[in-house]
Amino acid sequence: MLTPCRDKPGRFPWWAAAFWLLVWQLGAMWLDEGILLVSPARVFLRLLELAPHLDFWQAVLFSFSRITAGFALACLAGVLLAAGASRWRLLRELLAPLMATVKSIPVASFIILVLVWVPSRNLSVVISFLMVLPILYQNLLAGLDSMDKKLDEMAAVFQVAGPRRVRYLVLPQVAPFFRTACALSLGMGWKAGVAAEVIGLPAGSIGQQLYNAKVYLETPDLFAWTLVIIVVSLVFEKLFLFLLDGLLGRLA
Amino acid sequence: MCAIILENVCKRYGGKAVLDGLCCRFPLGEATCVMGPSGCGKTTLLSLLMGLEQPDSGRIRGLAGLRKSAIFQEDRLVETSGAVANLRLANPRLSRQRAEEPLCALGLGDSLGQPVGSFSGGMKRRVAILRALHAGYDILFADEPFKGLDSATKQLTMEYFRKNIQGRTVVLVTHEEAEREFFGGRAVRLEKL
Repeated sequence: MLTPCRDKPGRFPWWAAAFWLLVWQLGAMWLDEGILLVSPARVFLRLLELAPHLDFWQAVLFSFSRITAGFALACLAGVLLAAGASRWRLLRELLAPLMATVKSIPVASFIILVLVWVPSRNLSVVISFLMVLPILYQNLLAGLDSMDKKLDEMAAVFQVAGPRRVRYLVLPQVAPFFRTACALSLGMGWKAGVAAEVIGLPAGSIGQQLYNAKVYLETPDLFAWTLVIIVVSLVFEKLFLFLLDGLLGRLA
Repeated sequence: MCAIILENVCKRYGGKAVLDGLCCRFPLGEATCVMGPSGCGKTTLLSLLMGLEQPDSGRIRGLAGLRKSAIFQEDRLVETSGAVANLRLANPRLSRQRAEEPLCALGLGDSLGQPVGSFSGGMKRRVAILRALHAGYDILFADEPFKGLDSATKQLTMEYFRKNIQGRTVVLVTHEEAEREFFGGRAVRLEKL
């Protein structure tokens, strides 16, 4: 009988990553055209060249602070709107087409539309906010909708209300939905935020560095900055989820 | 007012009458057992008394201002929290130590550090019973509270329950005549419609 193959949680297949890096290196060596495909070794060396410069860290901080601010604002708005929509049917119906529209509009259209209204230096805040908000809102609303009605009755009988109700009844039931929404939207916020910077070209952003690398055909820079985005986004995602799990564990 | 009084209370679900013109009284300061066959409306009666549902007609008098406590048919515990937190959820004035004492008395002392979601059915039941008994109430509603407990645990829990409801107003739903005799209360008997 065949045994089904399942991933072990938390185990990253490093051997597979090494295999694909090798394929990339061999591909670059075979092509031998640095402009078309730069080798991973060259990308790594370029990253080492960029890292000691202040401009590099300023660009990382510029993009990180704005994309994270957009994400944080979306979390706050998502929680408030989902709580309101769960309580008031009118608000839920009012928000339904708005959220569906925001979710389905292509990110490039949003970026161009928002650029008309918002200075380019703050574009990534708005874009990451808009990308994250519907995911958080819809997941949180689903969590609130799926709450156990019998526990609500228990709370009514024992007169559990206000912060105690939120702490003991709402949080344990909604937290898994919030965590899933965060895990889904963190990477998306980063991708959309950097895309906004590439189009809006705010001075001193990662997006501007990517654009310059494309214009001047600096393929090693393009790859190096892409690697920076991946690393910063992953580190932030893991750190955020780690802290969130810790907080929820303490509240349990 | 020295009793909770039901006058011609009717309750229907989808056109089917569960309670029809029910008149009865539950004296304050004593236990009353609600008895009857399955489907006769015992749990519906408790829902009406707890204020979770409203009667279609008739009225219930004497409940205003009373602090309620309940043991539901299901445990209805916060599964991610521990037993102490579940007791303190219903009564925030209960200190940790005062919450631990009854839990230890009913044999749950070794499991205080665990979430109740990891408890067996019998352990959860005892937590639900203790939560209700220590909630600081004027009237306690108990819907088949000892169902699912093994005989030794049931005896221990019933003794504890009886000791803690002396002189209190309790409405206890049960199928078993032995339970009614044990608590020595009067009975309201419902018939299936």
